[in-house]
Amino acid sequence: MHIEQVCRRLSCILFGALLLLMAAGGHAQAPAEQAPVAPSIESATPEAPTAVVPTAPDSSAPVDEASAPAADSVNHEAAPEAEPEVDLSAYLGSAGASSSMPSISDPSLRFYGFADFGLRYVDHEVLRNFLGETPSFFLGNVNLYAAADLSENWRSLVEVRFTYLPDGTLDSNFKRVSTVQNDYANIGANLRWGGISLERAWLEYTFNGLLTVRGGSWLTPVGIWNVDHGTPTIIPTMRPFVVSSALFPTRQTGIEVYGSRLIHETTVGYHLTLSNGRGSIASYGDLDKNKALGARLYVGLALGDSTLTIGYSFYLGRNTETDLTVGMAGLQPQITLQHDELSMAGDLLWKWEGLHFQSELFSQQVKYTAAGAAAPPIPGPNGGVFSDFHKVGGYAVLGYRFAAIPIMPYIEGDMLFNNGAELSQPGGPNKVFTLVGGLNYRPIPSVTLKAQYARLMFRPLREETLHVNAFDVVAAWSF
Amino acid sequence: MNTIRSIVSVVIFSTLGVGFSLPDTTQLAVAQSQGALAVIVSPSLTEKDISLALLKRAFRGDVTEFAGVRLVPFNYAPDDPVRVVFDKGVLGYSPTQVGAYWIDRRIRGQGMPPRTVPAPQIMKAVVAKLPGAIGYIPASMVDKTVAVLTVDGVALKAANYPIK
Repeated sequence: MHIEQVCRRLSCILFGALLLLMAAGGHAQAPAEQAPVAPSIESATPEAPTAVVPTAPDSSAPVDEASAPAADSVNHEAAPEAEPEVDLSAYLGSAGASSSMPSISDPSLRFYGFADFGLRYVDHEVLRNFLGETPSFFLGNVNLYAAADLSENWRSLVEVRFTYLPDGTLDSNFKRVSTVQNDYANIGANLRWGGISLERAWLEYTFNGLLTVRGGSWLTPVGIWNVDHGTPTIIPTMRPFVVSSALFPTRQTGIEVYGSRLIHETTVGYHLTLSNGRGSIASYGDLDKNKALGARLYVGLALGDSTLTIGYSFYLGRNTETDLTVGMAGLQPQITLQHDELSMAGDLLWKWEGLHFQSELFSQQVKYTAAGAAAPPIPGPNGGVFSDFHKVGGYAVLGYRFAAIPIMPYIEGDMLFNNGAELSQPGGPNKVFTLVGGLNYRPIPSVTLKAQYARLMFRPLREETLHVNAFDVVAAWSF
Repeated sequence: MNTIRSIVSVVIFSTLGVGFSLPDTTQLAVAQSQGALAVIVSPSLTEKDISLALLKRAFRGDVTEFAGVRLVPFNYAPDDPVRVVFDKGVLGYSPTQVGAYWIDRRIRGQGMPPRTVPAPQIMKAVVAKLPGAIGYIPASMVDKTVAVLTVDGVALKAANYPIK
């Protein structure tokens, strides 16, 4: 108990001290810097190198004293009637002024990303074996984006995540995987290599506001959390257990069509998807003849000072896994797992000034085919094969972002029920409840500091509830 | 009981540990001294009125059609006082909120912010030349090279004009 209390207080003290340091820095700043923005985003637009505006307020040319602006202020005074030619090519694109329909975009490649680092304590003996003795510092996500506006209508996005995995993971014999290799570039030194996860890579063409076609690998457009995606954007330190359980596939490879329209003050939008669905090679191959279908419909309402977005999503697909066997006819695929899946979800996002409430409900129904019911690792009552199952879950996050102080205290609850009859059913324990309380502090738009306490309650089939306390202090930043 | 105590201690201790930052209101007060902002488009566009909701949609980065053309919004630098007034009046965002909005949007993989121009003179020149371009300038700088839109049917000089 002593170490637990020490770690709780350590987390509180560490975060409070960090915030005190930030506040002290904030007081020392000049007033003009008190409302910082992320200049790297907005400054992506190239300035016209030859643009000359002699009547600009800060021009060195002599001006009428009566209209001379104050030296330390920006004041857009009325320009004189005769203005010299201004080079607009940087704003109009490579077509320049000579084209009757100039392109407004030059192919421009932008690199940006996000990362997070934190301190975590988990007071569960079994989980510590997986996560290491806690409290532990960790480098979480390091994600890099490459985005390009190829033309006015064509756009591309590639996102990768750099990770230490698979180094340190436990294999099927509970042995830790080591990726240590001799570094040929530094004699005598070792190198521990990690991996790259392709988060998404797509190309899209926009016909109009109602129709954009996207092809490649993309995040499944379900609800809120899967789209928010990055740690600087999400409010808590980590995604809810029900979201991590992926009742919808996190990403798919195929075609997505989407669009939206404003009707008076109401936005109506949609997504339609066609993909390989789920599976071990779904990113680049489909092991069955069924393509997965998905859709999301949403409505965004402006209600006075508040906004309300309500959405509904579904996914219908078949998941097939095969091995290859060598027989008389040569290599033949052998189905090792196959099931049909119907997932549905509803989402709600309500914002009223600083108040933020979001919630999602998920349902996943899985039915194994006769040829594809696999055997679970631990035999269960269903004749030695996985039973069909129906998972239901959801979460809700409520927070309030103060205007004067960019902090947001929040609470969260989430749950996941699995009525499957097998132990070690795909998806884990039978019932999971989580209660979370924390603080989200965004001192500048690019940096988010979070401190969180979570109480997880797992109730597996043995009916003995496991309780886990987890403390996180995380710094997430975009660059 | 320990669980509740832990949650409360994290929230309260951290809140007490935070200093107060100067709110964006000072910057906004300076910016609002600029007066009304005229929403401008090319004179070739046939529509002369735009809804505030449509304007907000365009400057939030969503593909927006108006008068049969796709709008191409142009902005100023984030800390430009004119931009501050526009963002507050149209988007309802302070400069800090605008910065957070665009960061969140690009992490989601959604569109990038509008292009920026350094001065209203260039804004007028771009809008006059590029079909579909839409921008905003101080009302005192309006001339015949651009067309001024009413917003929700309210004229620029009206007392209830929303962007000032």
